[in-house]
Amino acid sequence: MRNAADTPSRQRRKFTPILAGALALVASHAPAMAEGSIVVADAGGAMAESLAKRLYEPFEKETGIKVIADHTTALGKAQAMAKSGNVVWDVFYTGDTDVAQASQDGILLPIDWSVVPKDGFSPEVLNEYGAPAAAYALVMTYNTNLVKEPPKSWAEWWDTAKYDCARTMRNVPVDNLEAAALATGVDRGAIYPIDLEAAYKQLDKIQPKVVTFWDSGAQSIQLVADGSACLGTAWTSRVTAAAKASQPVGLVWNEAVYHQDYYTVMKGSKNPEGAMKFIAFAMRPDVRAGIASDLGFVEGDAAIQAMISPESLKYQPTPEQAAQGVNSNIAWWADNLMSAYKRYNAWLTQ
Amino acid sequence: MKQKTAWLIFPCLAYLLVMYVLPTAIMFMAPFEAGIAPGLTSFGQALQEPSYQRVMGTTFEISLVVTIGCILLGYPTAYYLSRMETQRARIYLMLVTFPLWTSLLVRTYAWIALLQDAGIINSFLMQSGLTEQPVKLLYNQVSVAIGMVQILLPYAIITMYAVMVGIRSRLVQTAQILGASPSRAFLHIFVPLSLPGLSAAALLVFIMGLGFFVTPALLGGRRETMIGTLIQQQVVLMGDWNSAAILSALLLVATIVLLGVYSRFAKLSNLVSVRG
Amino acid sequence: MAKLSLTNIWKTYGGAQAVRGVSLEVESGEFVSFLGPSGSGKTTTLSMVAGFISPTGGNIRIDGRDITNVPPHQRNIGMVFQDYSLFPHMNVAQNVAFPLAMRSVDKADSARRVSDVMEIVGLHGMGQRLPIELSGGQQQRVAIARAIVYQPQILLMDEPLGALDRLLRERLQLEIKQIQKRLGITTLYVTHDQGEALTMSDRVCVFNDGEIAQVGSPVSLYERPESRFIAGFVGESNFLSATVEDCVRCGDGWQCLLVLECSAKAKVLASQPFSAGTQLTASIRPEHIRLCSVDCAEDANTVFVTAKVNDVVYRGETSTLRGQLESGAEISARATVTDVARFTGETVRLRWPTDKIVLLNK
Repeated sequence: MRNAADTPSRQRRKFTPILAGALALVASHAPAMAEGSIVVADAGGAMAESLAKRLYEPFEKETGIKVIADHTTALGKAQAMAKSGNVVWDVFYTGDTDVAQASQDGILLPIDWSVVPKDGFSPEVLNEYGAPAAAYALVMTYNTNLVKEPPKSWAEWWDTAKYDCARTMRNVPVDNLEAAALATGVDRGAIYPIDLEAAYKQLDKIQPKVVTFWDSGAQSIQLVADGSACLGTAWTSRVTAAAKASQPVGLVWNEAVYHQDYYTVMKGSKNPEGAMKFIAFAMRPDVRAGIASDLGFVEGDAAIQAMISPESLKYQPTPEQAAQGVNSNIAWWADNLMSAYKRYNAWLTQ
Repeated sequence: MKQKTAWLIFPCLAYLLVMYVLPTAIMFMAPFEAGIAPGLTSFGQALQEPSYQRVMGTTFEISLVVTIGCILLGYPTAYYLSRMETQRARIYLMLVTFPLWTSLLVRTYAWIALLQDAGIINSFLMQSGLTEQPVKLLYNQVSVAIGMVQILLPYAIITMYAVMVGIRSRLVQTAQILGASPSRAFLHIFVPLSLPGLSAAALLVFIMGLGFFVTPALLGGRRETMIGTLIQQQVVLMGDWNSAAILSALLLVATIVLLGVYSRFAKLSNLVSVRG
Repeated sequence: MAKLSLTNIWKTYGGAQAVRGVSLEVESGEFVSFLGPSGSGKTTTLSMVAGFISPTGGNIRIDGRDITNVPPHQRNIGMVFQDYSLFPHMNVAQNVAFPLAMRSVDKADSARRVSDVMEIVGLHGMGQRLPIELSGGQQQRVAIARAIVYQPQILLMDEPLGALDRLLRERLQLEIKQIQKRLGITTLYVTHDQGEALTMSDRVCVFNDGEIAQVGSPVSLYERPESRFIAGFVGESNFLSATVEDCVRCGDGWQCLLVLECSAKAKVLASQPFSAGTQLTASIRPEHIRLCSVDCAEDANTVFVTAKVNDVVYRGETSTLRGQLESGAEISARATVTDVARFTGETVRLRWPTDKIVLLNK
């Protein structure tokens, strides 16, 4: 399986020149960026609003470097840009699995740690190609009207005798395999490498109960909020937004699967110095605390955690709750992503 | 048949060549980067990949169901509109296209609101005592078909209307005076003459249906993965351009084969579509 | 081969009256034309006979059977349209066989009858062609074959030759008439071409404004028009106002002395007496008006007038002079001599025999 996983990524690199030609035609429409500006790819929505207020505007004011936001952050787009040789983005804000894939593809610049401060971050969070942004988690969710006693573990979430109602899960293997492994009773510290046979056997058990697999964050909330599923999974930032909008969706911090978002710099960036300065600015505790307050993101650093506004703290795990989680293992996923998707799709469509 | 105005289509041709044909060709060459043989091998592997086969099968099945639905709903509507005086028909056609002005996403979410267990339809069914339990209308092939039919129906109606409006009522009248009852006149005269419109509409809807991914993703259940969803996943989530290219190529080939079959069929029907 | 009766047929659309009280008896085997300007109700009446439109009032009978509310397909009527109305997806033989198929005639019988009528309309051996491959004249022959193949009781033809050029039209007029005679089929024929109506029909039924203005043989219509409309619509006529001076009995009828415009006097036979001072219209066909030379003799049976020639229209074998009487009335005359263009602008004398005057109520 390991070989199978390697092959496609090698082939991807090989077809670079041809695809580059085609994409250059498309990408050449992008305006040439002035020296004093950078393009940042973010995920849009509530996140972009927060980033604009807490990060883009103060950074512009202080440095005079203009920030242009592109609200489409997708690995495919980053790869296409790199292949075309016309890299429009400077900073690519994305999740840990994308960082693993992108660094393997060689489309990122190493972070210049002489500009970006790395103090205060735990070593497992740091990445050669990415400066850590906030953390988020995939958590169990439940409909607060339908479920009075939420599950305390994935094993309970899986328990169809206790919860005889529909489930929803994300339409990818990432996190689902961790959840399945935890549900089989594997210790939180020992789930990697994931026992795929056991995990898929566990997924088989719940599959008939899954009303549908969600593809977007909005869908993950909607399915649980409208009662199509009584138990689901969702990203914490989405649950925060739903709770603020008084939707009947609750979350369980136990056995949450934590992911780290990163600021990365595209290889071929037209303004790498500006990008590094931008990331250094983003590392400032007040900026981080502001963003975390807006979005309910989790900050590991206690000093920053202390700066988060009290009313948004309720959307964040307490240190005790955070200790009940699992950190997603990027290295394992980087090696297994392709084969995992192949097997997942085969499983899904059987 | 050389026309002096042929240059008029050059801008459009050039546009399509640069913006469609060229990128598509380059995309499809991607799997052959490592050579012809490995390329063919990866195509062969894709063809034999059971999950791809199943997704292909689901995609064709859903498209077929949607096509049948669009024809069943669209044909009588197009017929009714085509027998109307032109001024009024124009207003009605505007109304037919009205849904196209609304975002596809909004319409898809509207279906969720309608079809879900606590939705309007189920509330009505349960309050009126027709059912005890909510009927499963959402997250299955039915909801995907309903959502897609709603989106594709205007295309089917307009395509069939365009042909039907050219069939003069006089022909059906003639058949009646010659001894055909209204239903036989419709069957022997109107239906055969409307076939080119019907087949064009069916083809259009079927091919458009093959490429859908938003509607099946939102309205489908765990079994309704369509090829568009898979391609999107491969590019956006996995960055697997190679597999995406292969799947796209398979989809395109299937579409071209369909068009080929259609054009053979259409050649026969050309003789028929002459306004008589 | 059936008798058709229309009794007091009305058709109104909202407030508009398209057909107003039309009654007509068509004898078995008779060829009757509906002639009239467009919008006069002739096609509406035909459509009611076909059953495409149901009358607001009145009834339609074929051989005494009331078919007013019978749907078209049960009327056993044949019909031919101006636009041929052939089924484009069927070949010629299939088109012609269509009414037989609808009547469940067996294959062999059908093939024989199709072949027979194809022979009649002169399209033998063209069965496998598609309508699109035929000329307009050929297409109309197919339509005729299709309308007669099942021997309908009545044949309706709605301006069947309207889309054809003059030569072909004249040839087909003759052929249709021959086929009609040979089959003895009762025929209603709508046309706006008076020449066509006059040459083909046993009787012509002239429509005006939703009503039948006059029905009669072509000769009676042309020579004894009963109204100014008929006189003007069927052929050309000059209309002069006339005042009755006196009427005296003369054999079976009456002879009236009239004073025409410009003081010309004429003695004219009339079917009824008019009291002195009655205002009438005297109608004279242009072909009866002659140009006369200076020496043309006075005659009690001839009317003379003086007219100023405004223009001369050359028409080949004749020329038409258009002029104005001193009263201002327009008049046109036919001249058989070719060299009349020289009279343009001249004042000339015109004459016509008094027995060619047709008296019409105002």
